[in-house]
Amino acid sequence: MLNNNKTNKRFGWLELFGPSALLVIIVLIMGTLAVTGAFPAEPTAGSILADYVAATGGREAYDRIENRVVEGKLVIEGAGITLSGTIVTAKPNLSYTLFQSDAIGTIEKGTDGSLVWEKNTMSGPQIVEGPMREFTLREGTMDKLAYWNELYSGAELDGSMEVEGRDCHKVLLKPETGEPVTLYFDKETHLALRQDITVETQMGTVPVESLISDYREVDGLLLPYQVSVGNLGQKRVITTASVKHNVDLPADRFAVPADVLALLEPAEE
Amino acid sequence: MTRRILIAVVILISALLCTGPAAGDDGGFTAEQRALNLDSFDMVWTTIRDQHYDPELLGLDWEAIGGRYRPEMEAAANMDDVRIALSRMIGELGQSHFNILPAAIFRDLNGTGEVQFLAGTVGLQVRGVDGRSLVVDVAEGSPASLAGIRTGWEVYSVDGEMMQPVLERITEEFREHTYLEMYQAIVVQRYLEGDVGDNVSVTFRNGEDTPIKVNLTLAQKPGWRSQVGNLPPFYLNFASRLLPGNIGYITFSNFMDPVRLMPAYNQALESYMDADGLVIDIRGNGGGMAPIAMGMAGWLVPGKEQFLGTLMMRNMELKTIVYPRPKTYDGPVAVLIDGLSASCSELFSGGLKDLGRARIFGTTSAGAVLMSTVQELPNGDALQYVVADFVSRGGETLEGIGVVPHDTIRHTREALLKGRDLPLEQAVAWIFEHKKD
Repeated sequence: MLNNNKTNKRFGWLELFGPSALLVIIVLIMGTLAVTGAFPAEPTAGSILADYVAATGGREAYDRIENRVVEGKLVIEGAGITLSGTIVTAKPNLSYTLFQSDAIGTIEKGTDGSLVWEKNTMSGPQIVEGPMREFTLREGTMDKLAYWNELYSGAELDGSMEVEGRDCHKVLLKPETGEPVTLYFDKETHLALRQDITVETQMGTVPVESLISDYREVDGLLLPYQVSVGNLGQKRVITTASVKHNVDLPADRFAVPADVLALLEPAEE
Repeated sequence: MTRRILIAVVILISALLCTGPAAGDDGGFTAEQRALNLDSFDMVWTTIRDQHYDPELLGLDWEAIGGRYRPEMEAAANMDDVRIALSRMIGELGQSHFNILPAAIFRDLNGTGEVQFLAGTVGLQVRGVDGRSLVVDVAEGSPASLAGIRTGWEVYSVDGEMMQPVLERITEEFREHTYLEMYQAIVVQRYLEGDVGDNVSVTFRNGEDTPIKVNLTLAQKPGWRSQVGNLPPFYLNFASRLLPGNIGYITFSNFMDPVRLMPAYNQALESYMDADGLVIDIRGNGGGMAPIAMGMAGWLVPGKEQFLGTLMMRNMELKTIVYPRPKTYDGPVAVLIDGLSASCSELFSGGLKDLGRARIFGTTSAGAVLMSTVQELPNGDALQYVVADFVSRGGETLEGIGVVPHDTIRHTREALLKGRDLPLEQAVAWIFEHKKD
């Protein structure tokens, strides 16, 4: 299902809406996935989230992780474009991401926990503001689901739905502002199999649907090694190659680049 | 007419990619093949019903249209009949970017076949001018240049094939279509391309209409050879120079290969910050990646939250924003376009026009701005179909209309023979009138 690459080859000038969409995807990957909570007898949103945390290693295992370096690749299906990528995250919400390919150059995004920025070969450096900044800081929080009650004003169980042939709980996470995040948790394994989110980008409101799979154990945590993202009529598959935790990162790993900081200065006359 | 356009488009694509007919074109369908064709028909019909950006399908009774053409498909005796039936059905929409791509072409486009990419050229740019195929540009150092070919000369015949009837057929077919200028150029241009080392015998007519026959050996196309994903390879040409009068001039052949194109463009803009004016020449530029245009516009448009236009999809609208730059060029900007400026070129020029940031010179652009994608069909052919419309910042649809220049300036043979480029001259003259103090 995730490897259907014989159709939907994109033509024309829309091909490279990719970078904008990729930045949204990157944020979603950074935040994926971890949960905590109580264990009530009746299924509630909180208990479902807690089950997820327990199933993926437990809160203590998450607490031991200070940062994460993920190497992998992103394939734009049907287009024949593959980007290699590195995603570096650290608690609470620091991040730096680099994706690159010969075809479209580099795509970077980062935050020092306050200023959110991005730059790619086409756009040059940009400061991310407004709803997209809020989205990035919230959804990009490392292992966001482990701390969901600090990031969201509430969670709500919204029935059941089948995802990839699996019976799932549908849970809404409601932020203070913006659209809720919808997560689908397998009723048997408690793993998250899908996430739906609506993102307010500079270009407009974009729905993004992500299928999450291939969980593997790393340092006591179960982490998804594949995320398939559909939006803007395209499917992109992100595959993790390696995960490292508690890496000795350079001190300036999350520093805002100089050309981004230059945007804060008054324009030259 | 619409059907003929669609069929012609398929034929042109076939010609441009130099592929042969798909297997099974000579008919004699087995029961299985016939079933696959009917499945293909159903897929085309449902795909358009479900994916077209307009859920009302432009007010058409799509159910009735499907019912009308399915019997044609059932009666199809060969693959030509199959493609004609499908083309007739999608032709009812009357929009660009709807095509049935024969299997061989789709395999090439999808990277599973062998794309016979033509890397050789004589080094000429040709346009239809007053019913003739005229040379409008001769690349420096090219075989044509070395043979003494001049602008304004008519391409009269190539390897014995007369160009006039070719041009007349295209003109008749596309007389009322915004693609006319593009196809007039392409059909002649392709006679002048081939593999590097190929020989072509071309008869020109010079300024006195005297026939001049020359044999030209095709040389490597200039520029950077690039390929993005599964798209066929292409050559990217970029050039910039300072024109007399301290006017920066930038031209590039497409909005592709950002790794090479963007640094070149950025560097040119940086160097022209103090120029008295800027000419961006995207005549012949067939488009490419939208974010490149959005990033380029940022050098010209100050401020935040600007956009060039809006992409209208079935369930959402997306603005093609201008990526702001730390500094912007604030002098007069002229953009040159022609009937071969398509897609992203129209996004760029139309957006700058609507923002009041550039004055547009040349001829109306191709009017081919719809966003399309390609779906493989059960019978091996493929459907190219539209998933989004594009509306300019000013609220105008550009599809089938194109960007209309502020100043419509056409080549004339008289001017070309004198080595003059009238659209560029007019742009420069305008800049002189409006240049920075």
